[in-house]
Amino acid sequence: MSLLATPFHARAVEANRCNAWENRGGYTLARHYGSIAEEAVAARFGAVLADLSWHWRATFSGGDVDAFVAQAFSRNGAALAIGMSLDVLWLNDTGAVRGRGRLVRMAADRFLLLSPQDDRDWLFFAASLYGVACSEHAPDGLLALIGPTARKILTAAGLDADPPPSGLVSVSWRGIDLTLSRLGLGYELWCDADSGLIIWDRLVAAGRAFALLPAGQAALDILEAESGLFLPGRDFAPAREGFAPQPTPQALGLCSLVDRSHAFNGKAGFLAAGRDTQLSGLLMGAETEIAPRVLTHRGAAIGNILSSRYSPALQRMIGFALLSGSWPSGEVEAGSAPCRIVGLPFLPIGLSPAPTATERATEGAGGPV
Amino acid sequence: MSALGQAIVVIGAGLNGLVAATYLARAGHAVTLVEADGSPGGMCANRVPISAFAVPPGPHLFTALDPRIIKELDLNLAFVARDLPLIGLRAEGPPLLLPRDVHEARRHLAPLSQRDGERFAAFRREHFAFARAMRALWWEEGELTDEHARATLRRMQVTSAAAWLDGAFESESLLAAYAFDVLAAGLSPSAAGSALLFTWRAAQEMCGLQGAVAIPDGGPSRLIDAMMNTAEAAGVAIRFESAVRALETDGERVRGVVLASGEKLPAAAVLSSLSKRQTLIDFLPPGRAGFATARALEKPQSCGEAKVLLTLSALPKLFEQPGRYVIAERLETSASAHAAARTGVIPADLALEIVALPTGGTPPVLLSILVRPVPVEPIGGWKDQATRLVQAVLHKLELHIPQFTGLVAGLAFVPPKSRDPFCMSAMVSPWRARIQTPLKGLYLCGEAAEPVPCLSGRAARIAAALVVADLQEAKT
Repeated sequence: MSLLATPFHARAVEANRCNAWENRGGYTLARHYGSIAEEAVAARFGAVLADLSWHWRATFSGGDVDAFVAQAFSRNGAALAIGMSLDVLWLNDTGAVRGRGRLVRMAADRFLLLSPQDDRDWLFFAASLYGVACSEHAPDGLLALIGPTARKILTAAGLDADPPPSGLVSVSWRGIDLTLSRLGLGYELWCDADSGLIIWDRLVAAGRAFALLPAGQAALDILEAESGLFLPGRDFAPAREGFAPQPTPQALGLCSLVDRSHAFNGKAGFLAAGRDTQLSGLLMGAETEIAPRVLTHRGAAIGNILSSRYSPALQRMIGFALLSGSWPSGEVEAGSAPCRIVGLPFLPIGLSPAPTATERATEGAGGPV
Repeated sequence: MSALGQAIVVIGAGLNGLVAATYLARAGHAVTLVEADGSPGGMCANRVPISAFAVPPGPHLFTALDPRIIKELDLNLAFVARDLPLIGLRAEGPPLLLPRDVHEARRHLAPLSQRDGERFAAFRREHFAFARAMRALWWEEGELTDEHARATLRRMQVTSAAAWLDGAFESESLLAAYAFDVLAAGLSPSAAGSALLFTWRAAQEMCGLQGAVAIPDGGPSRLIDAMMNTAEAAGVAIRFESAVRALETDGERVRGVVLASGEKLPAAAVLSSLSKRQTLIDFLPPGRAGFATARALEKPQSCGEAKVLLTLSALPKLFEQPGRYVIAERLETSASAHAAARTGVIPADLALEIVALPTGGTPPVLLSILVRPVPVEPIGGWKDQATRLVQAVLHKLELHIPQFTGLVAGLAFVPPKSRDPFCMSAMVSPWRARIQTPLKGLYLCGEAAEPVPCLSGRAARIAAALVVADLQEAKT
C-alpha cells in the first residue's frame, strides 16, 4: 500500500528523530517526535503544532445544497451563518451513526465538512440526489496550533486575524492566502499544498520564543480525549452499511449532537432507538488501557466503558462511559479497577486572548519571559 | 364511512390496490383508489392485442393467489385448470411429466434415473413440509417454532437453487425442467439463498392444493372484474386517469397525494401498490425516503421475464395434454445465461414456460410463453431486440415441433416489467418491515411488499390490516 505525504511531511521528517510513523487516512504521519507525554503536556502550558492534513475535507456546493445539508446531517446546517460551523453527525437510514464532523458554511451556496474519517460514497451519493457538486481537498494542508500561547504565536507571526469560536476567516498572510479557523482544539490554518512548508517555517520561527513543539498524532489523540471528543474510527466503529442498526447516537452518548426539531436522514430510527443518553468521563485507577466492558457499582451493572487511554496531564487513565441511569455516588468499578465518574471535558484546552498592545510591544522586544 | 373512518388514498387499481381498498372500505374508511390508466387491472388487464383478442401482459398462471382473499371477499372464481403438471420438453426422447402424484412422477423419472425416481417422493414430501412451516413467516407475522424448520431455513438462506437441485437429483432432464423456476425474481440460480425461492413457490396454495398451478376461467382479467364489483360494493371511490405526481408530506408524515392535474387529495394514510422506486423516489422529495433506500433503488432489477404471445391455427399435438411446459437446455447453463442478461445481452440459453389456451375464436389457440432470463434494458433497446428474442423463441419451438412457424397466425411481445431490485433479506423480514416506509402514513401494498414478487393480494390484505390498526392506535 502506498502512503501519501502531507504538505508538511518534509518538516515532519526533519523533526521526527525517532522515526515513529503511522498511517491515517492513507497519509504517513509522525506518531510522535520524541515523547508523546511531553507533546501532550506542552499543549497545556505552551503550544504545539500538529498536522491535520489527513482529515477528510469535502466541499458541497450548488444545486439545492441547503436542502442537502438539512437532510444529511443531524443538526440543521442550512441555518448556519457564513463562516460559522456546527459539530454534526450523519446517520444511516436506520438511525445508526455513520460519521461525525464539523460542517462549515463557507458561502451562501457552499459548505465544507471536516471529519477524521471519510464517508465519500455515502455523502457524495446523497449530495447527487440534490444536484449538489462535491469535491475533496486531498492535497491541501491543514495545520493545527493548539495551546494557551497559540494566539500569541499567531500574533508574533503577524497573523492578527482572530476568527470567532466555531468560525473561520480568510486572510492574506504576507503574500499567502489561507484560512484561519477555530473549529477544533485550537487554531487551524488551511493552506494549499505549495504553501505548507512556508507556513510551518513561519510558525516555528514565531513560536520559538514560546517553546512551540511539533506534536504527533498520539499526543493529538490524548488532547482530543481530554477535551471530551469521542470520534469515529478511533473511539468507535461507525456504521458502514445503509441499514445497519448500530451504533445509534444513544449507544454512543452523542444525542447532544442531534437536533430533533428538523427532519434528517435516519430520524425515525433515531427516535425509535430510545431516550437520549449522555457520554460521561471516567477517571480510572487502572494502569493500562481497559477494553470496552461493563461498568459496575457494588456489583450491579450501571453502564459500559467505551474506550480509554492514558492522560499525561492528569497522570492517570481516562475513559468514556455510557451510563444507563444517573451517576452513582462514590467509586465504581471496571473489572478490578476502581473508577470515578466525571463530566466532560476532562480538561479543556484554553486559548489565551489576543495579546494587548503592551504585550505585543514586549514580545516584539524580545519575547515573553 | 363509519364515525371512526378516515380518508385513505390507495394508488394503483391493479389486484393489490383493489384488495387493499376493499378491505379498508369494509373497515369503515373513506377510500379513494386512484389509477393512472383509464381502466383497472394493471398487469391482469387485457391490454395486449393479438389477432382479434386482447390478453394481459402479466402472468398467465395463478400460483400464489391468497385463498383467504378469495373467501373473505366472496370472489367466486372458477378455474379451467386447477393443478397443471410440469412437463419438461426434451431435445431427445419424450417429454418428462411431473404431476402431483409422486408415484406417477417416479414412473416417468425412472427411465431417466432410477435414483431420482426413488428420491423424488421423499424430496417433495420434505420440501412441502418445510414450505408449510414457512407459511408462519410468509402468510402471517409469525415465526418458525419448529427447530428442524429453523435449521432448514438457515441452510436454505445460504444455498443456491442450482446447488440445491444439483445435490438432490442427477438427471439432466429433471434439472432442466426446473430451469425456468430457478430463474425466478430475476435472481441468478447461483445466488446464495435462491433455493428459498423454490420453497416460496411450494408454500403457496391454489384451489386448496399446495404448490398447485391454476388457470382462471376467463383469464386473469376475470379476477379484476370480480374485484371491481366487490370494491364498488364496499364503497371504494375509484378514479381513473388520475396519475399521482407527488406525495404531500410535512417532513415526517404523508398527508395526501398530489395528482398530475394538480388536485390534492388529503389522506390520513396512503397505500401504494406501485413499485418501491415509484413510491419512495419518484413521488417524494430527494432523499426523503433515506439515502440508503435511494441507493438501493437507484437501478431497477437488471434481469426479468418477457412474454411472447402466439396465436396458432391449430393446437400442436405436443401441447395436447394440459400442462405447464418448460423448454430449457440445462440447469447448469442458466447461471451463465443470467450473467449474460445482466449485461444487457439476450442469452443463447433461454428458459421458456409455455401454456396453451383455447381462444374460443379464430385462431383457436393462444400460446402464452414466458421467457427467462432476459435483460430489462437490453443493449440497443427492445425496439431492436424484440424481433431477435421472438425469433429465438420460435427457433426453440421449431426444434420440438417441426413446421411450427407455419402454425403461427399472430404474435405479440411484452417486454420485461421494470421491477425493484430483489432483496434476499426481505424474504425473511417481517411483513411490517416490508409494508411500512420511512414516512409515517405511507405504506406499500403491492408486489414491492411481498417476500417474492407475485400476484397474491396478500401484501394488500396485510397492509390494510396494519393501516387500520395504526389509524386506530393514532386515534386512541
